[in-house]
Amino acid sequence: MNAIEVRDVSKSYPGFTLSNIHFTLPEGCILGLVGENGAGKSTLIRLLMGASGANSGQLRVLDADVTAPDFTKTKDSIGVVLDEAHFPTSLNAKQLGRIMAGTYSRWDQAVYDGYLKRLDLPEKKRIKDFSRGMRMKLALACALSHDARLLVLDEPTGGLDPMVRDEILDILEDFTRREDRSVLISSHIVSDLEKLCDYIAFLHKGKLLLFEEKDRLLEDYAMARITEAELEALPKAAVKGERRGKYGVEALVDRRLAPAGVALEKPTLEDIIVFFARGDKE
Amino acid sequence: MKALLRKDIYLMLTQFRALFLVMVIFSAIPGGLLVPFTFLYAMMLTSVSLMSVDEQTQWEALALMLPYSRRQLVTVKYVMGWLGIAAALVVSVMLQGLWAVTGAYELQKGFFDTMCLYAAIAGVGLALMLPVNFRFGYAKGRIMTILFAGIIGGAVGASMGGGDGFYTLLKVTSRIPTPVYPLLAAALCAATIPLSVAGYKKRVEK
Repeated sequence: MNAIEVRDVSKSYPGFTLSNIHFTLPEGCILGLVGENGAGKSTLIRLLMGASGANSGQLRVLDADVTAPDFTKTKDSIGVVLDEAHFPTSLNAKQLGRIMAGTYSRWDQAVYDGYLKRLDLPEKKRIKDFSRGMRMKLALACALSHDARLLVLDEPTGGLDPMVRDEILDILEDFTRREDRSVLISSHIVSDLEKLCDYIAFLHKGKLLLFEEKDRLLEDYAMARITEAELEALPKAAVKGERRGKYGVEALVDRRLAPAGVALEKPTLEDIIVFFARGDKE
Repeated sequence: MKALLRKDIYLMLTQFRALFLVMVIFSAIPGGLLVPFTFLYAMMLTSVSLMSVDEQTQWEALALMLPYSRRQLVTVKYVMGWLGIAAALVVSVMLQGLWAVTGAYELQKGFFDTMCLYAAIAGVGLALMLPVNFRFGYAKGRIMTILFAGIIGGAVGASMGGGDGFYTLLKVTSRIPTPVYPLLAAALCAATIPLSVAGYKKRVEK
């Protein structure tokens, strides 16, 4: 079964279009959705959760059509963390737990209490007195306490200090130990995704520039630090993006199309994303 | 639905506790002068004001991702509105009754009929305000409601001012037993729920 299926989905707002998005995430995998602010990550997440309607195309999550009236039942198996916690701030974690207990049919209070303890979250302090990191951890505790099969996280680590980010990533790694659990995590912190993800989707100005297995991306692409003349000699299709500097050219090349003899270096995921974006611009 | 009700009740208790005190003071004033305001105030507090808190905290953005239907998200505000009206009824009857028992003030003739009428007026207010607020959001909805009430009030006043329309209306309504009024208002509310759901969808799904 696929955790997520997106087929030729488009959505337009005044001044922004998400166009022809198409990908499939198999069950049990972690997808990192990368893109700059305003690339369409949150729009895509809203579409996937049925919070907004697509202009065209089809979206299925956990084998259910997101536009079907009974998609609400499927949401019972999805944990969500948004870029802000969005909880009523005058409540505390204990009251929030009671609300979530009535929201999710498989809510496990013991698991929730365990997360509050593990993440050092006070039960009776009002959420408005929580730091941003604490709010995000609370959101994560809620998303993980109802035996979700899919986690959808929209920029959960944005604006957090490295310690909290690391703590959150550890929890996500724990979550995915069970093979039937999938994760969609959006972020513009590529290093976070590099640690965690099986697949990478790169959204740029509303277009999906890339959807590929992370390991394959790292295998198929390479960085070449070459001269202008060497760049000109490379087949056009091999060069995915380039950066000209004082001392030569840095280019992201497709290893499969690059001629033998060109010195290639292993790229980071961030290199791949940045150079793909540059290639699109050019 | 239970979870949404619980959330709104928690919000009332944590955020509007002091405002509830105002409601009690209104309904405790001897002679029941401010009792009509108690009903309207309670209705506004438990429905539209709660919507404003949801908007401020952006709860709506999260709620749309949780296993709640649009209908549940809308209906809960109607239920809360009617709980507010019921609370106003209970508090007003108790406090005005207390004055009567102690002999300080006598209950006005037709006191219970008047209470039913106030509850019905607050219920009709709820039926008119919520669709507008769901469609346009709290900030715009508040202005639209005032405009809407002004236009409707003006139109009704103008249509009855010149003739005996008002007396005809009184004749017709006087044949209906007063306790039925709140039921009619509740039916009107139920009838506007689909309108609110449609307006809500249009606003949040754009």
